[in-house]
Amino acid sequence: MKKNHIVILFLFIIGIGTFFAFFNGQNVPDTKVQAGAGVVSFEKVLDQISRTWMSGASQLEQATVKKCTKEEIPNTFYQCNPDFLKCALQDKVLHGYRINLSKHGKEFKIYSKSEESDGNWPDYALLVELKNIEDPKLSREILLTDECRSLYLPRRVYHYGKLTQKWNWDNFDRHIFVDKHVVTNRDIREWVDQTEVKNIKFNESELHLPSLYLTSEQMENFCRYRGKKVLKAEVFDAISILPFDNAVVDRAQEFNSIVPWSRKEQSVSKAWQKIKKDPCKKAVSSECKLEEKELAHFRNPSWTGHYMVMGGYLEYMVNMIHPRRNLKVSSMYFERLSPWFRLGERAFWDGDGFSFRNFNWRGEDPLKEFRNFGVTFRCMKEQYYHESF
Amino acid sequence: MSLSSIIAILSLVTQLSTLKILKDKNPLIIPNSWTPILEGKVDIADRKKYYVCLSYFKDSQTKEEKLAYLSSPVRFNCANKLEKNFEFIIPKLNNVTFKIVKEENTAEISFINKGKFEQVYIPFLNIPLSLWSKDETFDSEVLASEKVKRRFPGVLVLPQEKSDRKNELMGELTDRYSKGNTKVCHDFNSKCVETMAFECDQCRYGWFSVVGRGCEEGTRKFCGVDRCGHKNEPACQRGFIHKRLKSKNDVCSPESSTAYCKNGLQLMCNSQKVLVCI
Repeated sequence: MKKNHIVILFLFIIGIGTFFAFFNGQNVPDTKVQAGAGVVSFEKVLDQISRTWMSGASQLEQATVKKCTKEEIPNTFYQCNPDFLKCALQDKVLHGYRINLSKHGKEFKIYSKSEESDGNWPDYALLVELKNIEDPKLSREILLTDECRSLYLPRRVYHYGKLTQKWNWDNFDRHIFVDKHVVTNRDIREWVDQTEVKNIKFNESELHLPSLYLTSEQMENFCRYRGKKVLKAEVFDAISILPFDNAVVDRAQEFNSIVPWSRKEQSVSKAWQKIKKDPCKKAVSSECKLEEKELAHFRNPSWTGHYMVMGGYLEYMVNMIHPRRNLKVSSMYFERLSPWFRLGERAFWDGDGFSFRNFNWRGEDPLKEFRNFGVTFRCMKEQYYHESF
Repeated sequence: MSLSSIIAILSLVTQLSTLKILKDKNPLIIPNSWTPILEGKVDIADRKKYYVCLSYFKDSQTKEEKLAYLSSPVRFNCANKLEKNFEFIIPKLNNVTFKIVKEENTAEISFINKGKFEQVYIPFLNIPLSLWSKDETFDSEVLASEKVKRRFPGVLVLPQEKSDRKNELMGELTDRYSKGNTKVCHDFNSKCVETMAFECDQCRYGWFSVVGRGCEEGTRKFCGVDRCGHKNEPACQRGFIHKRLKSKNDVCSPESSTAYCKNGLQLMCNSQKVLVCI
């Protein structure tokens, strides 16, 4: 083959290769639209609202944090908190959308399945209106569900009650979610405002503090408004008693955890002795400072992440197994070496009043200076799935 | 039909509460018939379910391709719809491809429209990322759950169209199993075959399980306030392990350890094979 022919053939091959390379590159579209610029802006708004709702103050600029929060109150209070969200975002314009939480003359609108006439909403959600300032037709409404408040209870066999009791149960056939902390005055105020329920006592000036003066019936009604029910005693033990072996879930192991921070101790006094640092960081008792007592409901997480399973405030729970053991008693009304500072021990509350005679302390009375009490509570929820996740 | 109109209409699929992805690659195209590439169910405010379908058609002779969208209150077979029933059709397309971009939780549809290569991304705003791994239908109670992470955590985007129709939530506050006026919302027969799908998310005041059949597949459920363990009410669940410890016949007996009553009450198996407390 002559030299010229080789060059021509070479150029031809290069040309063919370039031709095919060009057409393979035609996967790049002439118009690539992410479902419209409007949807992109909308997604950015959703992202920002989601972050503020779920993270509370931790992701906001300083000016908003200063305006909408108090330094001494833990951020967990501001997560999934409609009052906080309203303070942070009401009337703000984000990516072309003005945020509005107010509805029908109220500060905000909560959808509660038990109260609504519209069907198929989540059990409890906050309505937010997103008004597109350029094109009202692109305005949308969203619901914010409370995904901050509760924690999933791992599926396993659990022990109920004191160490000497041999009562086990499991949650392999259901999913249980338990609120991280007890109900606050803010929650109650929202309930009263949204449903106009009457005769509910709560502290309007200390919204971050626990609700202390609801009767047991009112507690049930509140939890129902949230699509939940009052915590059961056996579930409380599940979130507070350390499992014998985290890896072994399907056998009724011996549980010997008498304090929520250790599974080894057999004696409460020895458990306290081994605490090198501030014991109030493990459980709040009468010896602790006032500010530690006030915010006890946001402290001392258990192995599941639930707060205040020992110490702090009295807490009511439903107990079908032993109906006269419906009150967690370890609290600021007792010294830490009191027999009540032991998991599985409970006293009785009649559910109606808050004076000394409304309780049966089973012979272990609170310190003499306390003759009137407050009782906290938290809610739980059971869900069903036809497959596990 | 402009691209923006297509996008606006297709973005209705962002409210899907259930989604069945028929193929996550290019669908198997059957010439001269409508091939469904996406179908799902939307829950509108009146609890009515609207079924939506995105279909593709290719004419084997003319090679003409079309995309069509339909929503209907009545369940239909996405593949069999006549052309006249579709809400809109984008005709004269070429090289239509469809895929789900799992990492970005979007559907990507590409086609050539009037000589231009175009791609549309439809974000699924309410569909959780974790559900893309299976080619199945996912029900609304899963999507409403707290365990499943949505694309924007805590956020549910509502449909733009709402209805004024009243709700059909089930159950009253005063309903009691003991009075016989609670409504079943999930059921299994004696052979543990599901005879009624889970509808307990439609219970206004929550729901409760009853124990007695010993089915590993699930428990029968009723709408109403959970009063388990109380006199004449169903016993409280004690768990799955306890069900498995006994044969199915032993589950519904006074000696059963699969359920418990309030202290002082006894278990009894009633005629409906439910453990109640007396």
